[in-house]
Amino acid sequence: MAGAALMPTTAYLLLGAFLFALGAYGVVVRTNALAMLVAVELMLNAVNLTFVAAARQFGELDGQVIAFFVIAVAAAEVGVGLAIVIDVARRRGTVDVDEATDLRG
Amino acid sequence: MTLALVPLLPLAGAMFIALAGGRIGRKTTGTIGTLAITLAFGAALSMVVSVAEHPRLAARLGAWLPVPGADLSLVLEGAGLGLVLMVTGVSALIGLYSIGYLPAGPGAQRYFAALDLFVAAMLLVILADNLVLLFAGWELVGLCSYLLIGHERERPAAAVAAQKAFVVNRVGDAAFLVGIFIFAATARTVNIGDLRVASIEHLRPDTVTPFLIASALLLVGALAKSAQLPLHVWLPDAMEGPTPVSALIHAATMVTAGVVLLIRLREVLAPEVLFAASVAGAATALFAALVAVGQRDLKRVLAWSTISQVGLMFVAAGLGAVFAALFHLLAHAFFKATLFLGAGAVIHATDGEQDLTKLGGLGRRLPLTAATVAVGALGLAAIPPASGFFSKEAIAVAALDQPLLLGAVLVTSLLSAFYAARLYTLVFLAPARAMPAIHRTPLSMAAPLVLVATAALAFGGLVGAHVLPLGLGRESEAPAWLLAASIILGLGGATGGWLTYRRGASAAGAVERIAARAAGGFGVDRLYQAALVEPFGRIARGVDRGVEAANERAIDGFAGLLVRGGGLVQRLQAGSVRGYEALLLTGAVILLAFWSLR
Repeated sequence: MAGAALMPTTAYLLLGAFLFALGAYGVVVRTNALAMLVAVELMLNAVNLTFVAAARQFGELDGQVIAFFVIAVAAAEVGVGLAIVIDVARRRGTVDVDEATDLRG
Repeated sequence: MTLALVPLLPLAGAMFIALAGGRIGRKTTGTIGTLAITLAFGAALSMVVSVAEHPRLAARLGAWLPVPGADLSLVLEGAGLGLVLMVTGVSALIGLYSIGYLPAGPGAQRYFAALDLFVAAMLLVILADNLVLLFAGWELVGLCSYLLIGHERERPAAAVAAQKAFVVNRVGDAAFLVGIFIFAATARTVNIGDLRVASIEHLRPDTVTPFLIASALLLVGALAKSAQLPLHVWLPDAMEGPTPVSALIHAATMVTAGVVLLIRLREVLAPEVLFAASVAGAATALFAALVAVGQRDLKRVLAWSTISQVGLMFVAAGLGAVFAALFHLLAHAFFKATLFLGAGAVIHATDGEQDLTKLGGLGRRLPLTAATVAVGALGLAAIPPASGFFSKEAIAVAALDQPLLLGAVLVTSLLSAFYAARLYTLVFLAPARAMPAIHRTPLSMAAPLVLVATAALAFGGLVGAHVLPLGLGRESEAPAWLLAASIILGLGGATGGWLTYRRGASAAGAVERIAARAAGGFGVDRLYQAALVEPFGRIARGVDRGVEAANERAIDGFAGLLVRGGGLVQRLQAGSVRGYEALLLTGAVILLAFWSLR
């Protein structure tokens, strides 16, 4: 790593913020549950990127460790989320979240 | 410790029946209930010798309340043993009689449990060595009377009569309780023996002392329990209970409690209060005797006669003639039990006919009942050799110094003889009417009837002839003129009653019309109804409505608030995941902005 011209940390942070905003936007505007899951995944990885960049900036491993945890949690989240989506699809024949309003008060 | 067994045996019987009675039959239940009382009678009988040696027996079961003197302890002194023997003896006979009288059905468990508890409670009133324990028995007596009067609880009249008895008694009980508080606060003890000593110091003539007030309050309690003016209204209605219950309440266990109280506390209560008890008793005796003449219901005649006779006991007890009061109490218990059990036999035989004007001519068809009721009626009419004659004589002697009281006693005697003869003539001697089939009296009813009638016949003579001591010094003998007057009044009243009614009530003409005026009890009941029951009912209903309305408004208002609030929150719960997501993000942005700008 030494010697090579490094990207400044700010660039990583800007990219992470951009990806996070993109994911949040996707979660709000898309009605397809699968697309929403992908958007959530995008947000999580934006956060991962930010953590790893910060870890490099400060020369510590904490950020990297947390990134691993986030990856593990994301895998679990996708597992549960996809199971729910499959069940919704079986019951309703659609994965449109605007159709799933049974709990409306 | 035989003394402790006396109240504990019926109590154990009551508890056993209450716990196990559902699984054993009616006959077994009745047998156990009667047996428990009989055993208590036997325990009392076994103490006759020891009482002759020690005039005062005590048994301490343990400490009870943190009030000086309020222990679980019993004492037997003076008149106690005679009372205990009478209560247990008569109650045992009534229990035996009930086995045959009660209709088959699930009520036997309730009936006999309450009967045994009733006896235990009355024994507690007689034996308790302090006022608090006595009050416990006193309250239990009230409770059991409520349970037994309302035994046929599906009949509204019985339920109402039971409530009335309970509520009227409550008036007296409240006064009694306050009286105990005053005694405890003033004398620092509730033990009756200690109170006797304390009253010497705390009572002063012509001064209102706490003891005087407490005495007056205890008298109110006694008046209510013994159905004396002005708290007598519950007793005639109590006839709604089964007839053996009436016999129990009237003869052995309940109405005599007030007299027992006066006898036991004669050295504690203020003399003014005791004299007031005499006056109240005399007024009640006269009043109730007048009302009794006009009653058309067989059992109501007997009810009013009880009120009248207990009034005579109050006269004697209030005048300090303890022996006379106790003598009449015991004699009355026997002849009144005879009359009630006889009345029960008549009612049983005629399928529930209680109207005197519809009964008649039963003398030939129920000879045994007629003979026993004759003994009871002789006692009520105070005609020798029945016991009532001797005991009423003792009361008249006690009242010799008080012309007004003596007059009331003598007029009551005349009236008693008249209505006793009226009752007997109308039921047994008057021309027979068309009667439905007459049922035979079962042995379990006939045997107690004969036994108690024998006691009623023999008791007075035995005491009168000094064979039976009652454990109390007796007052002076009657002068000859009083004896003669009593016999003339008794015989005259009875003959008058017989002559008037021997052709039946419809042939009695003017007498019956005048008597019917008195039958309403001179409007006391109506007065209470109008002055107390109805206004209170109106107030209660008004309060009920007000509370109901206020409740409704409060509850409705609160509910409305919740509904409106819920409506506001409801809009947020739109069920749209994307909407939640947007809110979440907005919130996060606001928080971030807030933190970074701070």
